[in-house]
Amino acid sequence: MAKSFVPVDRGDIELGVPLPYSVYDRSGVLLLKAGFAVNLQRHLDILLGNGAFVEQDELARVRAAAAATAAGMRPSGYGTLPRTKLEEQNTYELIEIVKLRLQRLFQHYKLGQGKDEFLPRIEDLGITVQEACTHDTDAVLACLHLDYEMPYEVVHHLQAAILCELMGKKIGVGEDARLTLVKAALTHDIGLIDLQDTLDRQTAPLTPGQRARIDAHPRDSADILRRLGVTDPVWLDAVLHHHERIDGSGYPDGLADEVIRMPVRVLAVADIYSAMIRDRPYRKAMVSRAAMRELMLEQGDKADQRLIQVMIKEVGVFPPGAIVRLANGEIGVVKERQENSAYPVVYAFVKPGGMPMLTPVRRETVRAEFNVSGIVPFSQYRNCISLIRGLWRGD
Amino acid sequence: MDSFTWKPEYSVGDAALDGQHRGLIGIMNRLRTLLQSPALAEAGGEVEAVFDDLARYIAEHFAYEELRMADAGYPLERLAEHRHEHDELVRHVRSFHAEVAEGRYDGLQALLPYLYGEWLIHHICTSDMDYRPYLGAD
Repeated sequence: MAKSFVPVDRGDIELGVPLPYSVYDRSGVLLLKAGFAVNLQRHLDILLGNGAFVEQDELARVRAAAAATAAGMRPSGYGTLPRTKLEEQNTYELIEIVKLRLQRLFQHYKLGQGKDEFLPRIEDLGITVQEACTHDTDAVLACLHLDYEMPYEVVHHLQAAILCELMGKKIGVGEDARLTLVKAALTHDIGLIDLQDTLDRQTAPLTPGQRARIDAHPRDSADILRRLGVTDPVWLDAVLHHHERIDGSGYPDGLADEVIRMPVRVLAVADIYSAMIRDRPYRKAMVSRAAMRELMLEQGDKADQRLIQVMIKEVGVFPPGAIVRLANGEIGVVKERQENSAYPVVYAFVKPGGMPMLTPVRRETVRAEFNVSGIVPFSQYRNCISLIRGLWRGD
Repeated sequence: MDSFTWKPEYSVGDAALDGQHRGLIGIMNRLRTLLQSPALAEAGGEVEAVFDDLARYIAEHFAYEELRMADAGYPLERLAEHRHEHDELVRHVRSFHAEVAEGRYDGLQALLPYLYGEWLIHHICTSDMDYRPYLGAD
């Protein structure tokens, strides 16, 4: 039987308090799971403004439980919702939902469906990214780093959006301006996504037609966004110029130096890094440390050095989700960044002989035997993902 | 208690996945034999080996199955639920592991019915069957 939905009662959702039930959009797409605490007022406004719904059966259950709880204490009460028993839903899971939603949004876009819904959904996804970063940045970064199944276009856009949010916050960009930047990042290659499936599989050199499409994609992307209703000049400018380089070697306009504005520079750095750390058909992904070295050395004159430094400091030399080898031969995953980025918190999940561990063990990497001796590509250990991802699911 | 055997009704219609699922039955039998030994607390290494087997089974099977489901066009939301179910199985087995690590061997007695009821009958025979048609088995 199809589920039926009713609009959320605004009074049921309180800032900073776990949601009493799961919230869906008007077409029944899961937005936030029960237990997630909305911390940003703007998130709440956008959520309710775009239409937030609850499944009728779930609402009835929650109301009944609330009434039962209240019965003993407040005889007249219809009941507030039983909040104290709710566990907060974790951020890793929220980013999994964001990935699914972005994937579906791009699928609809490619099929030419739901054009009116596109911008409100990007707005909502953008604010959810910001919300997730306020909750648990380590979990957000890990969830992207440990992805092994989403199409490139989904992970690439989301990774760029997260990096824009983190860098933007670090250099003092205000919340609203950051949201614009995040939305630009979520849509910056929209002019290419119909071609992306082919590019994902292709190992042969680009055809002249494909080359032309790639050269034209910043302009195409900006045009598409304009047609979808984007009027914000900062958003459009960031998308149009995200391939411009400070030494003037970029495209489409060959802009240089100060003419390239800050939001554009932020998106450019986020775009370059997030493209480097994913497998492509024509080259293997670089591990984060190699990508950072290349960013500094080879992109030195092309991208904003200060921003590269900010990003490296934010993400860390060993970012959450990175797979590392320890001095004692164990393989572990970085769980949390630390002030000294050489010594992150790592959980070992493979024994020195190569056997997976059922229960990963926390290792203090500052101790000599557990020093991080190097990064290992995730692809070598992705079979262990079910043993790893529980670390962010509140086990 | 008789040993557990593979039955055709456990098949999800894919030889590789069925082969992996058979591995779980092997682990259940190993655990069953262990539980019949009189001095369980002294069989520490053997007990740990069962958990090692489970870790290897999880690493061999879950990610493979999830990728296979995604490739077969299994709906995204249902795949997310399935993944969640995998995570729950891992979480439960870990809690048994933690109990045993603290010397509470009752946990081990309860592990076998858990593997049989939740893992084999509920997960494999119910949840996994949901993707069977997508693999083109029917």
